Amino acid sequence: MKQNKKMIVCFLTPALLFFVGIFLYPVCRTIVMSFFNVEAVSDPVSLWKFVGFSNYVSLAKTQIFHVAMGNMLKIWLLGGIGVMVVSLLFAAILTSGVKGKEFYRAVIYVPNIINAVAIATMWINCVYNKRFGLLHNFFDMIGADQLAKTDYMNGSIKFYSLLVAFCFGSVGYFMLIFMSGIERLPGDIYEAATIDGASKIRQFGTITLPLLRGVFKTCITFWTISVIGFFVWSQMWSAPLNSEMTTITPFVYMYNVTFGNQGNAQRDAGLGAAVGVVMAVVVLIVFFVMNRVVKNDDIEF
Amino acid sequence: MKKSFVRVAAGASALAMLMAGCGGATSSSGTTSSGSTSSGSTSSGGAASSGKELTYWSMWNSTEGQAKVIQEAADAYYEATGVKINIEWKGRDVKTLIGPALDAGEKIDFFDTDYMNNAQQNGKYLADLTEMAEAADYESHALPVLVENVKSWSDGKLTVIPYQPYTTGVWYNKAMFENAGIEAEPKTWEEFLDVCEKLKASGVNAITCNSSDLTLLYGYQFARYVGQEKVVETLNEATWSSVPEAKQAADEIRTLFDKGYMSENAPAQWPEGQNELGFDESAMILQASWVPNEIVQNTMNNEIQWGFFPWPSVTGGVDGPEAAMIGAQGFGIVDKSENKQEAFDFLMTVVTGEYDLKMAEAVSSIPSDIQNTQWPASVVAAQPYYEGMTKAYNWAIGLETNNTYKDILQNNLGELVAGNMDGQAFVDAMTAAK
Repeated sequence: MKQNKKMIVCFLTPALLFFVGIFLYPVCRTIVMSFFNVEAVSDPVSLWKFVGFSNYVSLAKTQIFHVAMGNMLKIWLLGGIGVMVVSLLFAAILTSGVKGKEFYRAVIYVPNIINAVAIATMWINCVYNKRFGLLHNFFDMIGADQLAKTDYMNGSIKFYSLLVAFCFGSVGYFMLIFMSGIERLPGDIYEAATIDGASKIRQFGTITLPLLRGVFKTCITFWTISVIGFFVWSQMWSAPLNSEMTTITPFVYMYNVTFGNQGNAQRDAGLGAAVGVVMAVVVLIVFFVMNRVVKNDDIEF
Repeated sequence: MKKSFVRVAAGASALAMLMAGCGGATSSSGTTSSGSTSSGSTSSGGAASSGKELTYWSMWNSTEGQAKVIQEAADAYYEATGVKINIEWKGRDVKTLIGPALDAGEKIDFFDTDYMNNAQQNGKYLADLTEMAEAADYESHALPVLVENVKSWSDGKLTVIPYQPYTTGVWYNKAMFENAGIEAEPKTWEEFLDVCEKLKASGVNAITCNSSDLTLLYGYQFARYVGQEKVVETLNEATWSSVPEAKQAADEIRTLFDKGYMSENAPAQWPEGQNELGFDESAMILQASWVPNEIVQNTMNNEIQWGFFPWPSVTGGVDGPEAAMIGAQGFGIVDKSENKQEAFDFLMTVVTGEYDLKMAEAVSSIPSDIQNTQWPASVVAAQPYYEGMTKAYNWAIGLETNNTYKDILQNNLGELVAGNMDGQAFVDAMTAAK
């Protein structure tokens, strides 16, 4: 077919211009900014002071940044395992012909359509509150006085209270992706397996899971992106402060150094840009590793 | 025919993409810049319109008490002068939005945010109001220490007009003090411990705190010994081990927890700690002057008679009741504005006189005009100390300013009061963290 070059130019130019102006330019500016000392994000370039790699060096030495990276890794790994296992389980159950599938699917998905701030407030005030919360009342009712006194919003447990609440809200989204992946699998493979005498669990382990490899890759990619952009939940958990050591993540740290906080906190948009670049590199590494480890589906169906 | 249809379709698609692109850009800037924004403007009518319009980016949301009074003042100003004030209710995000907006050439005449933040971080955008202030005799209305602070951050110029001031100290339930047989407010640390003991004996928690208040407690105690400058220096230089008062203050704050003076739920997630006063469980809290109003709002307890005293002095310390952590919000007028005088005149109607008093009443806060001596009942106990105060501490005595260090400090204070660290371990941990 003869290609109409004018048409291609006509269709692509506006999109390309917007891509360059809205996406590429800020990305390049951020990368360049990370090598400078810049006070405010919108300072003109004439006010920038070149500092080489010193922003990166200072990040490498900053304990709170290490803590933030550690928190993010814990959310990614622990939360990732929890969310993937639970959402895959729900997906497997709901695609197995259970009655009321639509209803359960809607219920499990609901947290995704509610604002994160509202969900976080619900968890903090209604579940974790150490005076009136659900957990407090439950342990109080069964007479576990010591457990009833647990303070979910202080100390190291605060991280896990955050993790559980965040994962709760994430399950529905990944469940939907898994469900669509499972429903895509051809029924005749299962029929054949059933005739050969394979149990449902065996079928799940040896047919469903291997064929979902590509879906897993998608899910892990989405999960990685959402964990790296972890911000609102962390802020909700440390309110009214900007951040706390137990729940700080790199993006929260980036926000703190870029915009400062109460009163006269120091600002350094260059350092913030360096955090952004480091996080982008982390995403790229994860993608690279994922592409290497999880091969694309080689089976066509 | 077919070919021309394709052409039309292609043209339409390209146009749609362009429009979508523009639309996307506009709406995204709209959402990032507004959040819960809605535009308010003055009502029409009244004095003949002068044709002048000012744009104000506000740190309040339109539903807040302060916003309602400001809107009322803007309406009145329009009635009187014909100058219209267009208000964009940006909420607290104005702090992060204002710099990029002004750099991008957005037409804004004046805006507000924390007065210190405004003077220090937005100084390059702000007009020098010194002459206008002199002409309007503004300083006879303002608390001197706030104005001096602004000038010290802006090379001697008045760039920010402070309003909605707050002070901090110990807020207490007067009835509980009477019940415990306490006749005088404590002035020294020893007297304070004595008061705590009596309150505890009377069956209530002597004092409580939110987990976010630990820097306030420790900061005050530390600063009473060495003053704010030394506290900030210790934080930034990590000289904890060479300042013995750092350890001593930590040990003393831990005493409040060890001896059972502090509520067993403290430190609690905000606002659970402060709410204990509203539930009549605890007698005292160290917090800013907005706390009585917050407690009343949260717990619907209007019965409390609020008392106030400054954080106690310590033996051998350099600071006493004359030093307090105070602050304010602050209006700044954009230097590029063509209507600086009009903006200033309007701001004078907000920060002095009738509307200032209205705002103080609306949210039970301290009036910014010192000639407004009628304070709301819930904060009036702080009035004599506020008026006699000569030394201003920054928020949390500057302990929350260092972004690479503040979360570690907060965490170690949590460990300290949980009994997992003593003063020495706290000081060691802080030194090691640098």
